[in-house]
Amino acid sequence: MRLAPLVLLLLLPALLQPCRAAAQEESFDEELVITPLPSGHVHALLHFTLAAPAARHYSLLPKAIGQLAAAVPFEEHHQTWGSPLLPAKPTGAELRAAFSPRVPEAELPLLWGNLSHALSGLLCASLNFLARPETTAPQAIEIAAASGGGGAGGSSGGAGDSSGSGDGGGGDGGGPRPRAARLSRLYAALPKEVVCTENLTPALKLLPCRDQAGVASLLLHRPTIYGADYHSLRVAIAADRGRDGALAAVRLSLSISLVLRPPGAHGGARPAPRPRTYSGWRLGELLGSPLRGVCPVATASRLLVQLPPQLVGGGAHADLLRPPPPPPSEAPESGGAAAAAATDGSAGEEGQEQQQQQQQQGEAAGAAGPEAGADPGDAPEAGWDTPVFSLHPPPDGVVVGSNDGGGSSSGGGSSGSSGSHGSGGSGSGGGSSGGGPPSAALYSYDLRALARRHRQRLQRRLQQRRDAAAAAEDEGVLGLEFEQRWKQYAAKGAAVAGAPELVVSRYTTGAGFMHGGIVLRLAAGGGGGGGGEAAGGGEAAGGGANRTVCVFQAVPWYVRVWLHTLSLSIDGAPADLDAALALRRVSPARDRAAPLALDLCLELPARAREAVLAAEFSKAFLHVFEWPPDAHRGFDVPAAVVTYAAAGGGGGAAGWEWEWRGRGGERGAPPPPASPLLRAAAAARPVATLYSEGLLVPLAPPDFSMPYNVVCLTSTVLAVFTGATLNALLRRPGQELRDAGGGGGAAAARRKAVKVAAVVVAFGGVALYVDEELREQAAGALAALGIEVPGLAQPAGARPA
Amino acid sequence: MRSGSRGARAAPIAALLALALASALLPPPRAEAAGTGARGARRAAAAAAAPPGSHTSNWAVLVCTSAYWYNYRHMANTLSIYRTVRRLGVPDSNIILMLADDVACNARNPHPAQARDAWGERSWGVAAERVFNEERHSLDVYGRDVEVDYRGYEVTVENFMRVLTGRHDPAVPRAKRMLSDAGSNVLIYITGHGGNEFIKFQDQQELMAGDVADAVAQMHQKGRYKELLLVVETCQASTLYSRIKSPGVLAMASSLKGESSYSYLTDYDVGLSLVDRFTFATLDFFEKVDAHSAATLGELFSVYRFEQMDSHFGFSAENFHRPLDAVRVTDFFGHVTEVRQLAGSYPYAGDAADGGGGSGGSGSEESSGGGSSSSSGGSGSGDGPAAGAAPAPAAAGVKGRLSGGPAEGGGEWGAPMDALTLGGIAGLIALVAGASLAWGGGADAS
Amino acid sequence: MAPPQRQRPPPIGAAGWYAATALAARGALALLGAGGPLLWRPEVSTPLNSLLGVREGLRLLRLGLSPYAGAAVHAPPLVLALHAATAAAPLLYALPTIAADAAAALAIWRLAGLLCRGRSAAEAGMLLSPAALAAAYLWNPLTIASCVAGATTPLENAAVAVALLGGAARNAPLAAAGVAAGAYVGLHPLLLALPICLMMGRGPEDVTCAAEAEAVAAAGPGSSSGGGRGGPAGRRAAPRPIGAGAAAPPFDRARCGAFCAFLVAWCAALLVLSDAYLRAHPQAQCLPRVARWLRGGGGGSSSSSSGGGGGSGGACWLRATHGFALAVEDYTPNVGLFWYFLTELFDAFRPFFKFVLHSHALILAAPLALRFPRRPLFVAWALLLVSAAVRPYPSAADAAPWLALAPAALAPQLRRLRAALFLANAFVLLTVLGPAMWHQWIVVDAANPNFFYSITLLLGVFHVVVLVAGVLLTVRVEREEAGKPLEPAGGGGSGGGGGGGKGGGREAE
Repeated sequence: MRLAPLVLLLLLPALLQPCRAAAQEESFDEELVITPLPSGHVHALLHFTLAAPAARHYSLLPKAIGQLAAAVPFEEHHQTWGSPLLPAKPTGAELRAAFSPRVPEAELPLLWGNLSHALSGLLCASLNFLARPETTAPQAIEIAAASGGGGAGGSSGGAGDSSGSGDGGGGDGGGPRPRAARLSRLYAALPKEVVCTENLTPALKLLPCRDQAGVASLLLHRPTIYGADYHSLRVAIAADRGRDGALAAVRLSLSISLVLRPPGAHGGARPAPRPRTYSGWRLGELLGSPLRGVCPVATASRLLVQLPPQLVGGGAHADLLRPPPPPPSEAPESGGAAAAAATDGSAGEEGQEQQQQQQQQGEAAGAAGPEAGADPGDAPEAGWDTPVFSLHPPPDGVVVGSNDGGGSSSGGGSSGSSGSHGSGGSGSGGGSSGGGPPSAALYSYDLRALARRHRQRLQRRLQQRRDAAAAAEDEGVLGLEFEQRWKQYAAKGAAVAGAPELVVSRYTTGAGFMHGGIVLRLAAGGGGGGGGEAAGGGEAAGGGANRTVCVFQAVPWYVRVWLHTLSLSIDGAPADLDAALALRRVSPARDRAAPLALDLCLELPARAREAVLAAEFSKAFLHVFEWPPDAHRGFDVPAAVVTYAAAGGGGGAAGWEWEWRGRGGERGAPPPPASPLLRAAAAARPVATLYSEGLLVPLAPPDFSMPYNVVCLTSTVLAVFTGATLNALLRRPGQELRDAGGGGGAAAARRKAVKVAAVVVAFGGVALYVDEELREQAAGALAALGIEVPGLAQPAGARPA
Repeated sequence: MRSGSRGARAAPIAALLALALASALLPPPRAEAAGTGARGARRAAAAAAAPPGSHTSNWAVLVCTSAYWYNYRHMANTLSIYRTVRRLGVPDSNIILMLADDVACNARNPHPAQARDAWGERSWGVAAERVFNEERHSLDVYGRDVEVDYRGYEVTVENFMRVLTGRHDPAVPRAKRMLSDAGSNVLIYITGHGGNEFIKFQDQQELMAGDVADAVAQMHQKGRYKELLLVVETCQASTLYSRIKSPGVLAMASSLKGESSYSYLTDYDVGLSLVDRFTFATLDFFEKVDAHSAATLGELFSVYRFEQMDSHFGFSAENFHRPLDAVRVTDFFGHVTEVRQLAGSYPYAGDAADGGGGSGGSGSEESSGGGSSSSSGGSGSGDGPAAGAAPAPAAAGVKGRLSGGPAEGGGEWGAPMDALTLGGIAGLIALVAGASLAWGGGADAS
Repeated sequence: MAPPQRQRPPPIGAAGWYAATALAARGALALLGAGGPLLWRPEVSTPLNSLLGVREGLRLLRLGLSPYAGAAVHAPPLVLALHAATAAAPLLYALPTIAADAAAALAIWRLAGLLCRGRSAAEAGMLLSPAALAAAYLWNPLTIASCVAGATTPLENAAVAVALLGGAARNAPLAAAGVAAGAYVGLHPLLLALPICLMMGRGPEDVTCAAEAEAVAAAGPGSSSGGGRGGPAGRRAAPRPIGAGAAAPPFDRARCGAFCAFLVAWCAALLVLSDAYLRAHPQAQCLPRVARWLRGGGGGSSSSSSGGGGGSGGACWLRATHGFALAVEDYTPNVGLFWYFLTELFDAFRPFFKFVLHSHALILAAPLALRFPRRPLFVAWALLLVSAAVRPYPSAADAAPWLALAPAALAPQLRRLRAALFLANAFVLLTVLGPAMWHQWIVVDAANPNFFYSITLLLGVFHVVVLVAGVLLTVRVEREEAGKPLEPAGGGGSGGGGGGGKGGGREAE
């Protein structure tokens, strides 16, 4: 049930303005996003960002990172351990690099090898196995993410929520669209890599405060983290280079994403009956260790609590989008019917287990009461109380993400039919500002301010009356407590929210060690493909464009996929693959040299509910020394990467607009200071990426104990082959007859016996000389016969090796 | 812990592997050879300068050679020693930890991210006031900030020998190298399944006593250690160092030749025995030791008793010239903090080209092929419209013709069989037929 | 390829109809979809001759890729071209192989007719009439399976048969074409160049019983030739055979040279055609590389390395086909001796042992040719047997040529063979046990590779026994024809051929 994270190394093109802006002076931002999942789990995403200009001296940035960025001439370079805001990952580790086109092809493998070795040393992972060419595949097609302005901290799992406008235009060339990669990308995966504390520790050591203070201090209790249902770590290193290729700035961002079962919520263990529910959580209990203040050197320290998307869309809960006014206002009672926003793309992304999670429901939130959270007596103020939930302490403000051009889609969204992009398509959302309806809302806390206030309060209390409690609480690193408690479960919304837009599953067929088949199934998510149908409806509204889905699959050479058996079937009926192919890159596998890299972009009919790619493969037979120690475990086939423009083509092209609604009623564009996490989310927004499950393919192992026997037997047959034939060729029957006649049969027999005896003596002597055990046995036998041979058996140590 | 018969049969394989390894190692990279030479000289000078008995740094190589969940105790053994040396002050940068498997995050582990070590009330008269985690009977030796340098498949005989002899591919990061010098005390701890003069690495390869002796001799020649303590916890452990002749080497073994080393009590929580008896006794001793203690190896050696281990503790001090009662355990398990600047910086592109043989070097060569292959894949297939030049007219345009499977229509048939080849084949056949006919006729005539 | 008109063509009896039905049976099996399972049978489809490779190559061509960019295709370009039209079709895929089998049968029929030297088969002492021989070839289950599986082996066999026919007819261009085509498909038929050169120079030996009659007549009644089986035919005075006897015409170097010239010419033509077929993929063409290599010695290393390592976008097609067969890198099980040996071998010794294994195909050619300079047909038979035994990726159908050639070309030896039942039963037993062990290992996973390996090992032993028996029998035949005494007077049949054969085997082991 635990899913291990994976390394994703991603080098993006240079000259991204945000990075430029961020790289002016050294900065360290730490952020934490809490997202309640409909299954009762709580998804926590910790995001740290270190940025430093390319100076000779860093005060915050680890030296190793600077050296890495300086030594490897990449443009920008992300290493990602998945997180649902950015695509979640299958088990194992994954390495992906895109080098600048300036790098000559011949140098790529060398750079790649050095990079993987360096990262393996940096993260205590055996990534250096990825340096071997037979694991490295080129990825030649990328779906160009339209570079929208802002980013949307969308719902968990980027599959569902996206702007509804079928072709909103804007961005570069009308939305995401498969094209040849501009950079030379390399890809490799270690599906069986185990990720554990030994990987998290060195990653956290890259942070200025390690895990001693700030948001990272929540990770102190490792058992909770690695007991989580899904844990995933992302480290991002980015080097911005000027147009002259000089190193301009280096950024390191690290994000840990966990899917946790809040104590008390019994969901998660096994699918529970209705009602689906959101469970309350308290930060300290959730992660097993309290939040210990903030990192002193942090330039920004923020906690974001996400509002489930189906509460965002539709005007029903518009009041939730307003920050709590200094006197908390009474919110109108909310209608349950909300526009269905398909969230939790992680169903497809994280394989079956996560999918089960989506379907399973938790029970009513048994979250600890608020009184536990608030200090009796002098809580700064009571929690924010809405009819849907209560949040304590009240947030500083709300970050509302909305996309312009949403109005254009006369979406079935408001009618609740659209599983895929109702959230976007829900025509005139409440509290809509800018061009479109709000699509995401996060309640934001400034931890530094809270910590400051908390400390001031404590000092005030110490001055007033120094009681043990205050003293204890003071010297205890100020335990900031956050709590969210759900009053109304929005069951319907949660139910619909369980349906991802697209579900990817992959399995093998056939039996035996000779050959088999591999099947990749793309199914429109949602019960009975409702998502797909809805998508169809949406497409019809948007002009009936087909959905473009790109599949990238790297297959190791020992699984020999026969391309001529590659076939596509849509909704069970065989379809012509050519007609569906929008773009394709194939680099065939070569034994022990290169894997098969399959890059296919399919144009699926808008109404297709299921597309199945199937191919046959024959299994290679490795020689004895190619086998890993656990030979019978089987061999891994890396997960297939499925990328598609969320909501069928071009949706995300429309730029997202961020609106900051502070408690004081002030409104503004991005939340001050600009959040790197939201930027990253924005960058990944319009393109959804799913990962299939890993595969284990058993190969026929040889008999590992046979080498000498086989060599001897086969060599004997070959020797007989030559010897007997030559003997027959050189045979002179007359000669035989002569010596036979001359010596008579007895003499010949005697001669033969002498020969045999000579051979036996010679070989026996050699054997006795070589094999000491045999010598000991012989000595024993002779001793048993009463003959003592002194020199025959002697300890092994006496003889030099 | 008896080595399976398969291991015995595989012994020659291991020998051959070692041979191949040696051949791979023989030509050291020129740059590195020079570097080691100079460094070696410097170290020799340093060693000469250093007064006898005082060392300048400490290094530890802790190896667990057996994988799989049911070998939990071997992981726990190694991690126990790791915990001890960490506790006694050896920094993580000076510890090379090789774990053949990850039991802490194993799905079968009831305590995620923890590796337990049997402790507490069952332990031999050890006072229980020690830092345990919540259960008092078991001790988390995995800890919160463990750093494993070689994991899983990386734990091989080759990598072990490379760590000892310091001959790495240039791309290998410093975290995976043992940068010891002639002034450092080195602790090597190996646990796993072994037999007479060998120890198995992951049931696949074998480290022979001869290999260990050669590696240690090479370390001595390259000035990579001042004193070396080799601790072996396996069956017939004492045979593994039987061939070491290098000076300054002290060796401890959990059992003598012909004896098995046994595991300690079973933990019903984990369902396995958590530690082996020898390591248990060692840890038992060290839990009483702190960084400043004056406990000596002599005291440590007196700890092991047959009635506890069911095997005789063995050690060899024939190559070790200091009296054991004068050697503090902290000389090997502790740390002296003296920072020394080593020549050479982090190797990067260009260095790997003239690589030091072995995996990385070959890897770089192969990867050149891989890179060009990827380029070919890109170029060969990348030209969408240019694919029209291919004999398949269907391949023209952006649409790649992926059809042609059994379900393919008749239209595609002739596609790759272009006119020129067809005509060529037909012409050749005609030529053959004509020539043979003519020949036959001529033969008739003649 | 009409045969020379020297003798009247042998009559087509009912055997002709049998042959027709055999071809029809192939079509029917292909129609019934027997090809699918056969694609995965190791005895039928090897990495070298499998139809899968052909289809994959065509697919890659359609993708605009060089077929040899990957490691899946090992069929020469012209074979791809041959299958291009039909490989994808469910039924027609077997068309080229069926045609090849028909051609092979035709060639065997003509060959046997030639060897009869104008007599009827019965008179000539043949075991089978030419038409019956062709029918037997077509009904051979091995050839049927290989043909239905669409493997490239039938093409090779047809080329071999044509080469032998050309040799027997002393038709240089035809023989050269056969050898060239066979070598183009499967490399090992190149061995036939040697015996065919002999045939060119001196003509095939006389395998009718006339020769023995001559020998009997020459040796006088004192020595009784082994077995009176050939008696009645032997008593008739026969025309002096071309090949046998002391008064043979001198070695015809002109024909031999012409054969070699034609061989080179045809091979060059095939190479040029292949490169022309691959002209869309210059990185897969071979002649440019060779040219580059010839131009600069420095370039040689690069090109060879690129060929060997498969770098620079896939190797030249020769590297991917014959080079793949020589540098045995695919250890997929087959009925040969190479796969398990190399699977278990230590890395350090691989190159050496690959060399040793391959050398076994060549090592016997010269001794055979030197020992039996006047029996090129037998030398050809022995070399076919050798190449079937020690080629890296043999398939069961590789046994078809020597099986088919034996009744015609080895008639006198077979007349003296006494272990026929033993050998035949051994072969049948192996053909039954092999698939059983394979099933146990691969499908049921109830056994390990050693089981299947043991069968392939026994098959190797079987080849050895057959070869030794053939050589001993030929020695005996030669001595009889030379009229020398075989055994001391009254020795009975103790030194008999079959006994000799088995005895030879026994001594060898």
